[in-house]
Amino acid sequence: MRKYIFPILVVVTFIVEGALCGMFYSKMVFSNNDTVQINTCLKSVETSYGNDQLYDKTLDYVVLDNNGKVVFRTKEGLSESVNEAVTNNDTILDINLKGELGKIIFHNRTADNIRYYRTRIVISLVCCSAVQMILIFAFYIYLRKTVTKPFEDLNDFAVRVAGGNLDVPLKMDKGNVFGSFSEAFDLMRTELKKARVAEKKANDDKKEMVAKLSHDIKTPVASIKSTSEIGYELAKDEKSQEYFNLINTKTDQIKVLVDNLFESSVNDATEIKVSPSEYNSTVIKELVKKSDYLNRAEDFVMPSCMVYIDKLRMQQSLDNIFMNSYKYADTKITVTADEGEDKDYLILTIRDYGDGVPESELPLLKEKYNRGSNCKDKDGAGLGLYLTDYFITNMNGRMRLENAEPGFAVILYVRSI
Amino acid sequence: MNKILLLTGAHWRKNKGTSIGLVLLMILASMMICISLLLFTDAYPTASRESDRLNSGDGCCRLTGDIDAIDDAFINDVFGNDSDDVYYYRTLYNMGSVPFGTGSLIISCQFGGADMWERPIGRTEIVTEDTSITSDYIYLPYQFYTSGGFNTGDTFDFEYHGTKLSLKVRGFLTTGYFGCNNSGVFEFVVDDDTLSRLRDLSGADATAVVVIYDLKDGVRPGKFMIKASNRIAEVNSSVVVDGYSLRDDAIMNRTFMSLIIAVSIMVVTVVILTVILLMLTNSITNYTRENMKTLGALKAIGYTSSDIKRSILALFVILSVIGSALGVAAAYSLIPLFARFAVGQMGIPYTPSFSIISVCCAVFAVLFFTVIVTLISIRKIRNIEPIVALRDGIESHNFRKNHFRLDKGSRGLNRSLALKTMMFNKKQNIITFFVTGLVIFLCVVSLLMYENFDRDPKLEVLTWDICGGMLTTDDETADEIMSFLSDRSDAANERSFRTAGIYYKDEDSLNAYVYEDLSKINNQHVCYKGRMPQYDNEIAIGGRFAKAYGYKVGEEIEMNCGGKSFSYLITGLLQITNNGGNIVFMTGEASEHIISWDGVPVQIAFDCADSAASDVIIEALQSEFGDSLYSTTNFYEAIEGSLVTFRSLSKLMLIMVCSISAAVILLVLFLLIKALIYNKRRDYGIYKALGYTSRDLILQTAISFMPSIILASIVFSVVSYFAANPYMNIAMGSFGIIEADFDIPVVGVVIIGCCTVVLSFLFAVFEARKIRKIEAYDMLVGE
Amino acid sequence: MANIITTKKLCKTFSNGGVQQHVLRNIDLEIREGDFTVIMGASGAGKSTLLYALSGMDKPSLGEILFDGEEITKMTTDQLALFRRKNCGFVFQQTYLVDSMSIMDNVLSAGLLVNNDKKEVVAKAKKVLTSVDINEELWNKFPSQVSGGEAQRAGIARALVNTPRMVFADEPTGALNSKTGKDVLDALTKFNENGQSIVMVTHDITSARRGSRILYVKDGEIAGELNLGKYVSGDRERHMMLRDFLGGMGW
Repeated sequence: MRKYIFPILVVVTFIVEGALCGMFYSKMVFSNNDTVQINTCLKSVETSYGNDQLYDKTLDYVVLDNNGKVVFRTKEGLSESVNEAVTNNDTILDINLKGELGKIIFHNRTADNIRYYRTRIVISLVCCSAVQMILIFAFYIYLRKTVTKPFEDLNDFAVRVAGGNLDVPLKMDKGNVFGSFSEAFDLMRTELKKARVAEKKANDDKKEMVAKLSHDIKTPVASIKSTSEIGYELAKDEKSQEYFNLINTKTDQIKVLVDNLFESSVNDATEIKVSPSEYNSTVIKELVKKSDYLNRAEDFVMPSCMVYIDKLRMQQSLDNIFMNSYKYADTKITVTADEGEDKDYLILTIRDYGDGVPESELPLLKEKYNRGSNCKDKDGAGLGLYLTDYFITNMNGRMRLENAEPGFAVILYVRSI
Repeated sequence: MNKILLLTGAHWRKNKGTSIGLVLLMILASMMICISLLLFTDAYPTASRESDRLNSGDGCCRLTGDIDAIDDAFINDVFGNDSDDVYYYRTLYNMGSVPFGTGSLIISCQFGGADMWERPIGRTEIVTEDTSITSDYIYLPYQFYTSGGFNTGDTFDFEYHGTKLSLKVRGFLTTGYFGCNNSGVFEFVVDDDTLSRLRDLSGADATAVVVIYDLKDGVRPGKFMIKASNRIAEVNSSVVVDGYSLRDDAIMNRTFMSLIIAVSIMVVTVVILTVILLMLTNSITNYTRENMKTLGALKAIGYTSSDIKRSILALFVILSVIGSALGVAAAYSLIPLFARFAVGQMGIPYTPSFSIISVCCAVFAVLFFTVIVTLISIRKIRNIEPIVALRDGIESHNFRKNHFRLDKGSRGLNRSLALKTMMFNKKQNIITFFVTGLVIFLCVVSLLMYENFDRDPKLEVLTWDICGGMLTTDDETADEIMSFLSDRSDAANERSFRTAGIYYKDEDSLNAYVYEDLSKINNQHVCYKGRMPQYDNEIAIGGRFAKAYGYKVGEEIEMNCGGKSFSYLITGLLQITNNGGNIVFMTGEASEHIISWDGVPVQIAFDCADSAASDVIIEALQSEFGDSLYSTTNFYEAIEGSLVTFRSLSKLMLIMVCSISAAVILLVLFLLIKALIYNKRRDYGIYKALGYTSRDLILQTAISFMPSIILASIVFSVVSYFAANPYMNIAMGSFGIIEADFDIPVVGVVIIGCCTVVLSFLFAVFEARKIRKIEAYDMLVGE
Repeated sequence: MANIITTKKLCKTFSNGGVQQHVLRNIDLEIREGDFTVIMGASGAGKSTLLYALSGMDKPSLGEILFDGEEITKMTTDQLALFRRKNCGFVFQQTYLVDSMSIMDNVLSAGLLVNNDKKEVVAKAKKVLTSVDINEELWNKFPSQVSGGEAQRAGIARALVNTPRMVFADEPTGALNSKTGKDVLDALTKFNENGQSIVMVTHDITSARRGSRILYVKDGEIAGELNLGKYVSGDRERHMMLRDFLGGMGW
């Protein structure tokens, strides 16, 4: 229905205009004197001649007596002689003025009529044009809304998509100007977005895998290195020593390579995804056991509560902590776990009995590629604690490092629920 | 076909209530159409049929005065040349008062004996008689039976030339020219003894010769009458001629009231039909909405749109056939009632005949409208995607807005929800608006009829002037009486006038009503175009006459009388039905150009408060002027008889229109509210489950219904107030009946508007009560 | 087995107030003849939309659907109606029996669409009704007078009276309790054993077990499919397979 409103209204205005034209055409007959009214005026003068008050003055007229002298006029400026009347196309009638034959001249109203109709025509014309203008304007707005606007929206959309912003959807336009194009285009946007997310995820996964792998490779390589060193020391003959030395140098080479690999992949490690969920705290105990593959830690009591962790990342964090302890302290390890006062966190303390680190270096340990002064002869990338801190923080927890006199303690505040 | 009938059955079972409502509406519609048509095609033409049956010829004239010399040769000389057939007879003639209904009629009466039955043309026949009455009997025109309240065996008391007579009614007669009060002449047949008694009472000059003639083809009755009158005047100038033509006078006057009835009923029918059409559209549109899911499921299993359409169409066609058939039956059972008034007042025995045209028209009109409306309404079925229907109208792409949000605005919750419903039912509301509006219009029209035909009768319709009393006197005493009346405080607006016959060229004769001052006429509406004549060269002529000869206001017309002629300026057109519209009005001054008033009696009319006052004044006049008064008339009494038909007719109209309006309102509200509740039943279930009370929901329903009704009441009360009059006038005018400025009491319109609103609300609440009975759970699962 | 329905890049988009929602995305799918295909997925995943698109009830926004090699996406609504009456039977969650028609009439209303010979259709309807265990005394009752399970089985009878190429069932047990639901599933299974191809949408694992092929819809795409083979009552392994499959899909 809506789409017919405009044509219908246009047709209606057209009909109105036609009717107006017809009206003007048929009505604009200027000679059409009202004979009844003229008779009324004439008779009113005849019957009450001499008493101006009683004359019917609806029309404009002049009364002349027998000698052509004006005896009455309704107003100034009318024809006042037969001659003038003839010039002006006025109506001249005989009139009986109390027995005397006079003339009555009715003013020719053509000029008035023309003026009257001129005003009428102008007003109607203006009104009609105004109505049409309003109509056209309304139609313009309608067109804008239904055609131009969708095009503009589509343009904005395309610019956004080209600029890489895939989050803002394309709105369906009401008139469906573009058909299934809108749908297809918006579908394309979502598909693009999906593809981009998937790509990023694949990239991250790959990097993370490399990081993990390189980290994992370092442990056996370290063992191989130390073993080869021991072998070197214990080797009886030069040949064997040479072999061991070769192993040692190659191991160093591998280490450097792995470090490089690790470094390059961990560059974007902040992008590593941590997705924690709820677990029973016993899970942590299992994780600790898995990380402590040298079985340095004593058994400990784990309070039962629910914790909010990412299992995989927690494992990695613990791996790092134990690895460090093995590397730098190489003593036995004590693990304690207890619930905090307000039970917001499960406080997991992992402590060794080694040398610890200088007090001044403690705050720096968490930073990327930063290593303590006690590890000059130890290999590493300076990432372990940085990552651990990153993981724990992303599990809504906190990590604190302190010297335990003797030894070094890592205190993990794991979010409990 | 099987599948479609199967579906049709299902539609019927599903919508019994609505269907029955629609059938009732269709019955009403076809009944109204059929009654209107029967009145127009069967009852209204009864008069001409009866005239043809009675071989009434083309006209008749009554010759009074010096008629002794009239013989076959005279008649043949005057009438013979242009006629195929002429018959004349002598009869007793009296202008007097006869009892009629509750009042009496002042009317010309012709009394004849048994030889009246023998007329070869212009026959008079017995309708009913009681042959056991053998003496002092009288046969009355049939109108005395139908409207006058007489029965065979009753006593008929009347005054004949000053003597009170009492006769037994032996039977009733039907006749072409003299059977109806509106024709101005009654014919009575009495036994021979009574006839001679009457002859003795009245003396010789009470005899009249009535000539009935059948003209040759191509001879115009009007022109013929002028020729005949002129010829009679030449031969014997003391013969007074009163002529009547069959078509223009007898039949027109007779059927005038029937025409008013027929037109009034038609006027009502048109409005009712419109309402019914709207309701039909509404109901059928609703039907598709209510059954959207079912239709969707049907489409899903493979019914095409046209299958479904055909099944719905079949239902409505069957309904409309049943409805219109019942409606026609109802019309035929009701038509005697209408005929009693419509035909009864013509004084013609009438049995409704089976009018194929009326019946077919009624049936086909209803069928046609139903089919068209159904086809238009079910057009949408094509667009119902089955899946959309099953999803309850949710389309793949919807842009529906949430009007009247609950979280915004300060309205009460009930009101907000009601407004929400209203927006949802936009289309429904538009239809409600117009239906309510039309119903109000209908009520206003019936109010108009009641007000103007019954409570305060528009006497203009009956006569050109209304007064309190009238008298006829001679030239000399007229002035004295005028001054006598003007001195009396109980009489007002006394005016004198005379009548004369004048001619338009040699074409037509006219009755000239010559008033000293035409502005004194109470009913100035009689001049419906232009103005009344004021000066000595002005004239107002009957509208019908002007039309017939192509005259307009402002033109000159030449009239002549008695050898003189004068050109008058036409200042106005008159709506008068007397004398077939051949009437002119002019001032005394103007008349002097052609008419000489020597010895012509003067009539004086005056206004007074009531019938009693009129009696008092007339009595005073009689004691004062006695012999100079030829006749006096108490207008109130005189009009009473004429009003009998008018009053009973308007009562019938009122009762009919009111009951039909009430029925329509009731049906319409029933259908509307039924649809409304049905459409919203799921919402009710949800609202109920949410904890709304039944009271809340009932109010909500009723309120959601109100805005359009209130708006319609206001708008259409105003519209009706201004439109009812033009509407009536257009209807009346296009059938040549007078246009009048009918009164519409504002209070009445306001009452109608308020009543409609209040009644609708109460009815809505009443109907919505059903909500109370249904449990929330039922509504939710009630799919 | 031959493919009866093939879709190519089928997409369906809804919009509300202009905001688009892509319910089906580029679905390429084949439905095989004789299979009891079950479409599963979380609510809102688009499984019903897929079903209705496959059956030609809903017009997809993009892509095409070939039913037996005939492209139905380009058909007009009337052509689709004619297509459906020949090829498709529908069983809805809410039965959608015409409530002003008796059970028998409801079945006939579908039967008469294809065959105008009332006698034949009545005979066929009786046979089908009997085969879904609807006894003669229910035939002339109205849908509101029978139980939900009976109404649903009548719905199945209506769907099957024309022996369509494919029966589409949208959550046929959704509104039923487990006992009556089982009757309905038994009826469907029985017809499938007799070679009737069925596509059923459900989110109920008990119903899904009946299927010979499970499709899992996730975010408007077919996330995975599992071929189970014909249903055997009480097959534990089948149940475990289905459970693992659904687990893998994140059910």
